[in-house]
Order: sequence, then structure tokens, then C-alpha cells
Amino acid sequence: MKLLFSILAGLIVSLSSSANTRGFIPPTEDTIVEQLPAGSASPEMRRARELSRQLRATPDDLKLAARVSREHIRNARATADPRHLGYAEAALRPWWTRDDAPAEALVLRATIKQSLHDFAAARSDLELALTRDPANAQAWLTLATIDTVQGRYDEARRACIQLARLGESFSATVAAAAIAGLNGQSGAAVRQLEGLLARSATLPVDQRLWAITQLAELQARTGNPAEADTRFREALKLGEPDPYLLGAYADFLLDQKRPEEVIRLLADHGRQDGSLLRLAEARRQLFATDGAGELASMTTELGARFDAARRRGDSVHQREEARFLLRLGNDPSRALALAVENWKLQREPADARLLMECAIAANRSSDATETLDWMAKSRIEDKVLSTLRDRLTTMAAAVTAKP
Amino acid sequence: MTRRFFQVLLTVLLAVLAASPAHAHKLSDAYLTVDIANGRITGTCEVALRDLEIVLALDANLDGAITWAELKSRQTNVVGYLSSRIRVEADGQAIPLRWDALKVSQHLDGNYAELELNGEILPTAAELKLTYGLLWEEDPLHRGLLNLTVGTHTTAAIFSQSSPGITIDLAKPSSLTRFDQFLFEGVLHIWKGYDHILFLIALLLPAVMVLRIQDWRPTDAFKPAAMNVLKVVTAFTLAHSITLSLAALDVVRLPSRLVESTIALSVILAAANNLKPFFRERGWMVAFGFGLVHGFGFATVLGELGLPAGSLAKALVGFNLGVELGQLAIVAVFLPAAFLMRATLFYRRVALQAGSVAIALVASLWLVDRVFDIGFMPF
Repeated sequence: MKLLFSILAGLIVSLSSSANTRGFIPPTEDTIVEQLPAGSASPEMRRARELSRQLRATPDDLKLAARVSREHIRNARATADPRHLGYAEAALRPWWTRDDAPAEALVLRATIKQSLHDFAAARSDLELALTRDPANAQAWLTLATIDTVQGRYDEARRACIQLARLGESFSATVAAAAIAGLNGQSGAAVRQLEGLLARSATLPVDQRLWAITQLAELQARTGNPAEADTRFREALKLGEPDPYLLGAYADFLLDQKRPEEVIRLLADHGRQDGSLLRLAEARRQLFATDGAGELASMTTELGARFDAARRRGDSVHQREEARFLLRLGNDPSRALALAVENWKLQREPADARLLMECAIAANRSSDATETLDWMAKSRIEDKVLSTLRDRLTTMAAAVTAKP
Repeated sequence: MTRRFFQVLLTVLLAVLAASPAHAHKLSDAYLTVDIANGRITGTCEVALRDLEIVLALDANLDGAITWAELKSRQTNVVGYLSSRIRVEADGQAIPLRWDALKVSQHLDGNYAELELNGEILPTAAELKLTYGLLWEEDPLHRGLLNLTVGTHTTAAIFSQSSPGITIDLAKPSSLTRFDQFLFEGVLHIWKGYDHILFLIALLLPAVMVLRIQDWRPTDAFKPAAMNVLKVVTAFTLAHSITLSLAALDVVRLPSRLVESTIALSVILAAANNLKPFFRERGWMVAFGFGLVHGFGFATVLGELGLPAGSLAKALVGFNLGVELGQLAIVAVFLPAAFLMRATLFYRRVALQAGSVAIALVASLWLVDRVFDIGFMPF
């Protein structure tokens, strides 16, 4: 029986792998050919579908369109399934390319573009929205986020000040603390976030989640693993974990060499490239004690996913792909090329670290010069980055010392 | 074990597959493969069932899963959707496409519905326009990924809302570029066709020798050696050009197993002649005789490349010329080296004797492999 089963399973696997190029005819009428996304029957998804139906009848109803779009953006964040971003864009069709679109539509447009890493277009949409409606708090907050991600800290701080003026003190404080935490004031940032969380126990879950995650990452960067771990766990307890938090905690656990916990944390999230990447890295850390089969199949799957993204002309995954090539693909020079491209777009500590690690692995310390400048200018306090900076400086000195 | 049991087991396994959590989260793509050759358009289109669900609501009983029955019962709608949104025009004339053979195919982000497409265009059509427009109302981030083959030339294109179509020039590639391609394929084929190379080498090995009482001796002068080579190469070329043309024009056709096996046999015989000369110095006759068979072998390859209807002669001449050029390159390397080494013990014992034994051995394996259609030989 067991043998029969494995023969059949093998048959199906070979059938399905060849099916990449040629289809098959399912054996019976009631064979399930596709399981629709989990939770497609959930209240959120059902609501989104119902709203979409209404919208089809009145596509120019901005209020409804904005609701539908927001609903899809929320689903995209919760499930890390980017198809929802396409649905969110579809809802905004009448306003998608118009410069005279109302501020509400512009802010949603920017949010979708930001999620697809089209930061320049997102920023210009937000600036347009703010000329139309300078009191649009969401626009200021998204602008602050994009500027922080791109390392434009002065602009980001100005956006936070506007947020505070509009009375959004919680968002303003968290966003400002995030910037301070990157600019040599981690101690103050930690105190600010801790104080804020202590004062505002009744805030909505997503807001608390955001603040606690920021705090946890800050603690991890400044070398306080115990505090970081406590905060990450606190955030996880708040409810359905969001993909950003899972990624951040997994990265922390990988740095702490706790791969088993990464595997437990992300076991059900392999659909998302970022999670699968971290799962594979965890398997890699376990390599000495665990079989290689799982790692090999994950590596193959990840490679196929990045290839598929490239085929459609996407570059959203440069950070993940560079990390994949560096840590699992054994291709530091290609990883470095991607990390350099990624650095032009995103300048978070993780991006700096990736570029520095790639430059070291590819033995091209000069390619990471910009990250060293960024470190000096931002005055970031980050244990891992400091170590990498020292190694790069030593490498560069060795290169110049050569006759 | 009844048939019913297998069916249930298969269903369960497929259900597990469909529900596998490893399905990636990615933006929506559809895959369009189109092949244009000899006035025929063939290909497939694969669309994610998840995406079709949004447009056509395939999940009739709303249980969150699409069954094969649910999909099949809506085949007309799927076909209607595809045919209204994927359009082909040849020289401004709409070309009707037939869509059929519904299947399911697996991709990274789940299962897709796959349909075959078929259509005819005039072989003289100069320009083809392909327009794509699936799913953009529902998901503007959707892309159509086209893999297009015209004759032997394959290109890829990405359809998006801002570039929903491409125009393909059918006239141009059939002139010079097509000729170049076939020339290149011809060179490539003789270099990669180890059986042809070994046949040629087996015939050429004794060309720098003369036969004295059942034994090969080195020639004194370069000229007779070069003449020998010229005779062999010319005979081989003439012979395989004849059969290659006949087969390509579909005048004569031989089963490929017979052809391939005879080619293997020809290599054995050519090598054996170097060990125990039985057709003596009439290597050129052997070259001609078996060259006829090798020509059929070349024709198979040319057939696989897909002959362009409009420029058959050009392709044929190009391919043949390519084969000759590839062959000449081998001779140009072989002849001077063999002539310089002809008097050495190494040439007579190792190159001629042991080399011929080795060639005969490899060819014997080919013969077994091809006669019984086993496929154990790696080349």
C-alpha cells in the first residue's frame, strides 16, 4: 500500500513538473483543480467582493471606490498576496492617471505604488495630494515612511512635524522615533516608544503592532536581544501576525542562530517569497544536523519564483533576490549587482547590511562605499553594520596598501 | 485494487496538490505560447484559475474550490473570453482562432486552465498583429507573457495595459537572417553530430597513407594525400546533398530509425576498413554510398528546425552550405596534422589502429542503441 502510494505520488509529481510546459487532464470530474485562496470565504474578502460588485455598477463613485481600494490594500498587507494590489488599482481606474484626481484617490494611488516599490511616482502623487489637501494626515504619514525608507531623513522629519500639527500625535511620535532610531538617537527613540506604549494601551491593534515592531527592531539593532525578543513576542500576541512582523522577527532569530524557531514561526507562510527565503536560510543554518532535501527544494522553488518575476519585468524583489543569491545561491557577484541596484531605491539598515555583505563576499569593498557614507551621515547605531564597516575598511586598506 | 480506488486516490492526491501551501504569492501572469510556421498558427494559452474565477465565477457551488467538472462545464465561456481578448490579424485581416483541448497546468502560484489555439494564415502573409487583453479591468497589474516562435526564431514579449499588442514582420526574417540561421544550424549540426564526424575521420585517417600488401604506409608527398581527402569529402558532400534535398522536398522519405542505424553501421565499416582493408583505397566510394544515408540524417534535423514555407530553397541551401563549412573546418584541422604525423609510430599504431578500434566500438554501441531504440547513449 505504501509502495503503491509512493509510486502514485511520484507519478503525479513527474506529471505536474512536466506540466510546466504541458497540461494534464484531471482523472475525475470531482478532482479539485484549484483551491481558491484560503480565507476567500472570510468576512473581509467577502466584504471586498461585495463592494467590488457595487462598484461595477457605479465606477465613478469615489467614496465607494476608495473603500474598495482600501479594503484590497488591507488584504494585500494581511496576506502578502500582491494580486490584491492589482484589484486595488482597478477600483481607482477613473482616477489612476489623472493629475486632477482628488486627494483621497491620489493618496491611495501612492500607497499602491509604494507597495510596488515605485517610490518616485508615489512621492509625486503624495505631493500633488498635499497641494490639494494640506491637512491629509495619511499623505504626510506615507510620505514620511517613503522618505525614511529612502534615507531622506530631513524630509521625513518635516512630514512628521506636519503630522503632529494635524493632531496625529501617535503616528507622528512613532514615525519620528523610527527616524531618530536611525539617526544616532536610539536611546531616546526607545524611551519615546516605551513611554508612548505605556500611555496608550487602548489604541487600535494595528497601531500598537506598528509601534512595538519598531521598538523590537530598534532593540535588536542596538544589541539588546533579550528586550527585542520580548517585544517581538508581545507583538506576535496581538493577533494575526502581519508579514512585516514575521519577517523582522525571523531575521532577528536568524541572527541569534535560532533556526528551529524560524521554522516554527514561518511554517505556514511559505507562499510568500520573503518567508520562504527565511525558511530556507533557517534550513541552511540547520544544515549540519538536518537533511539537505528540504533546503534544496526550497532553493529551487525560490529560484523559480525570482525567475518568474524577472520574466514579467519586475524588480520589486531585488532585496530578497540579492539575499537569496548571496546566502543560498552562492553567487556573490550577481547578488552584489542587485544589492547595488536595490540601494538606489531603498536605504534601510537591512539594505545597507545586504550591500556590505555582498561587497565583502564578492571582494569588492569599493562597491559599498556609499553605505559607509550613509552610516557616517545618518549616525546609525547598529552592531551588525558596525562590524561590517570595520571589515570593509580593513579590506579597502589592504587594497590600497598593495603596491 | 479497483479502478475506482485509483481514481479516489488520485483525486485525494490532486486535492492535496491543489491545496499545497507552497503555492507562491505573486502578481498575476498568463502564459501565451505561439508558434508560426508553414502558414499555421499553433500554441497554448494558460490562465490562472484564480484569475478566471474573478472574471467567470467558475466556483459554481461557492465552496472555495474549483473542480474539474465545474471548469469543464464552463469551457465555452473560457473559450469565449479568450477568443474575444486574444486576437490575431494578418496583413490587416482578422484571423479566426480555434480554441480547444482544455487542460489543467501547474505553475508556481497554483493551477492554470490551458487551452490550445489553432489558426491558418496565408503563407505569403507579410505582417502579423497580435493583440492581448485579458483581465486588465479586474487587475491592471496583470501581464501576458508571450513566447513567440516564427520559423526557428523565438522571441519573448510582455503584454501590459500600456503595450497590449505586438506586430511581427513575417517577410523580413525569411530573407537573409533566415539563410544565416540555417547556415549556422548546418555548421552546428555537423559539429554536434558525432556520428558524422567519426565517419569522416574514419575515412580520412588512411588518406595520408598508401596501401602496401594489406598494410597502410605513409605517403611520400602531400599532393596524393590532399587528393585522397578531396575525393572523400567531395563524394560525401555530393551524396548527402542529393538525399538531403530529396528528403527535404519530401520526394523520398525513410524511417529515421533505419537511417540512424545505417549511419552507425557506416561508421563501424569505415573504421573496420582501417584495421583490415577490404574496400582498399576506394574510400571515396564508401563515402558516396553511405553519404546518401547521412543525407537522410541531416534531413531529419532540418525537418525538426521547421522549414519555412516561403523560402524552402534558401533554407536548404543555407543548411547544406553550413554542413559543408563545418566539414571543411574539420578537414582543415585534420589534414595538416595527420600529414605531419603520418610517418610516426604513434600515427600508425595509436591514431590509425587504436583510434579505429575505438571508433568502431562507439559506433557498435550506437548501432545497438538505435536498432533497439533504447536511448542509453548520451550523444
